[in-house]
Amino acid sequence: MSSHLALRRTHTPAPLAGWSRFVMLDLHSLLPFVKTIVITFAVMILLGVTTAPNLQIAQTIVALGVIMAVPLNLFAADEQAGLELLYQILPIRKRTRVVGRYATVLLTTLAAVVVGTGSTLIEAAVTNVPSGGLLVGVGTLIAAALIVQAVQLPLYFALGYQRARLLNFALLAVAALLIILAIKQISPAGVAEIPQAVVLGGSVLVAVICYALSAWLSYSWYRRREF
Amino acid sequence: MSTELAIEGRGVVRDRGRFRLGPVDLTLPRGQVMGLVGPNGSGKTTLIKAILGMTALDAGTLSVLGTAPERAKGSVCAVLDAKFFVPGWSVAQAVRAIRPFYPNWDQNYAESLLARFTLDPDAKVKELSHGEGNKLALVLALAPLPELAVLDEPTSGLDPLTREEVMQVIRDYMARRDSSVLFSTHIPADLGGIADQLVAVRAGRVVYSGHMDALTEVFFAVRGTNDDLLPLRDRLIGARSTTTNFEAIVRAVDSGGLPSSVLVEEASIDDVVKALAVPVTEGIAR
Repeated sequence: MSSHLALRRTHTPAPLAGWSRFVMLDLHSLLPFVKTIVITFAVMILLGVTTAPNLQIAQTIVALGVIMAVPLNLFAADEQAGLELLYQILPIRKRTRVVGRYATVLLTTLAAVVVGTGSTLIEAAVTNVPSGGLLVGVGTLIAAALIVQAVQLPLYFALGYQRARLLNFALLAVAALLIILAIKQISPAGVAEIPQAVVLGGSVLVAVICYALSAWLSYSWYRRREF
Repeated sequence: MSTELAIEGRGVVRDRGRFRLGPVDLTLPRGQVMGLVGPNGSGKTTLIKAILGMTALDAGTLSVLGTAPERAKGSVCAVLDAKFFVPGWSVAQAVRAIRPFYPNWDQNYAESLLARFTLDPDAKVKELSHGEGNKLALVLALAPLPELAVLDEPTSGLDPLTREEVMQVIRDYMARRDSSVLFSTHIPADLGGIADQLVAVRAGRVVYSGHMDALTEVFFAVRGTNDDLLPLRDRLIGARSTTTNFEAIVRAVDSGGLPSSVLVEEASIDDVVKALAVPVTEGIAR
């Protein structure tokens, strides 16, 4: 049967840690959503290229939306496809699931940032807009995205997709508002004076602290949940 | 806790507000099949969840393959009543998603089962029929070559041919491996020729636990007219009556001295399971 070719591979157990196996499973469960995520991302890039530099704020909000869509889709699949039941049958502990889910979200966020940065560089080249301060922009976006995720992930772990999604959208609105206010407050001259290494280092530090606290909180709540 | 036992439960209690399971004692020796029967809401799923380490116990001890249920997960696989696959996955993607978690996964066996069930690896999960979904779940539960397979109503809603196909795969698996199976079903006929042990639960309590062969020695089927029902009510178990006749089962030790108008014969599994499903107020509480 030719269709069986899809499976014709001898399975050798890969020496993967539990959390990395869970990341693989997460990426598998994102497969049906890939088209939607890619289209959204493409629209965002197109918007940037065709309207730069006036829509920077809108672009940032869309970027955050895309980044937030990954956890949203993951937790939606957990409930709608019954994956939470699967996780309880599979030999993976709740702690491993939490670490794996954070790793998936971080991985997809970094992938989105890489694509977004690449598109910004292309945008700068196409529109002849100088790309100075790009590193600061990327660092700020990463910090904003990770802080938003650090808040939203424990909500999903504690409440599940259905109950947490409204809070999630409220969070997105608040984050967008804060970003708009922050961008309006920032003086371009002042930003230019901040060493880029400080911005990047600060972003990484903020991200690590927020993620660690968030993961701890997620596990504390998730381990008490019964399904 | 004995390592010779696939499942060993002592005084297992799980309290879920209005429903309480237990205390339940349960013993499944390795290499045997245990049939678990009982009406809806009797506690079968709660018991299965406890065995799979999905729910904590309020009292008692439960050992699976000689260890705590949550530690045995690598050697235990399950088919549950609810499905747990992403609808957009293909059959092949479902296999690829699950197999990294099981070091003993036998890909050749998985492929042979898919071929036997004529499941197209490219077919989307959402396009599978109910029976095909059950078959896929069974493939994913058996391909890891588990030491214990927990099958929660794997034949529910299947047509007779598909049901037999599924049952044959389970029988073949048992013949091929020295594994244990906990098999929950609403269909008593499924248990014939495969189950070594039978556990019947009702209203959260075990009402029968013993060897399948002993089942028909422990109980007799009785049939008669309703005129005989009233005087025998305390001896009969699970009496079900029409306007004129009744049928029930009776323990062998209680079968002496029944009136000649009552027909006493060897009980089938079907007789016993149906009788055990009748509400407690009608006799089984004895």
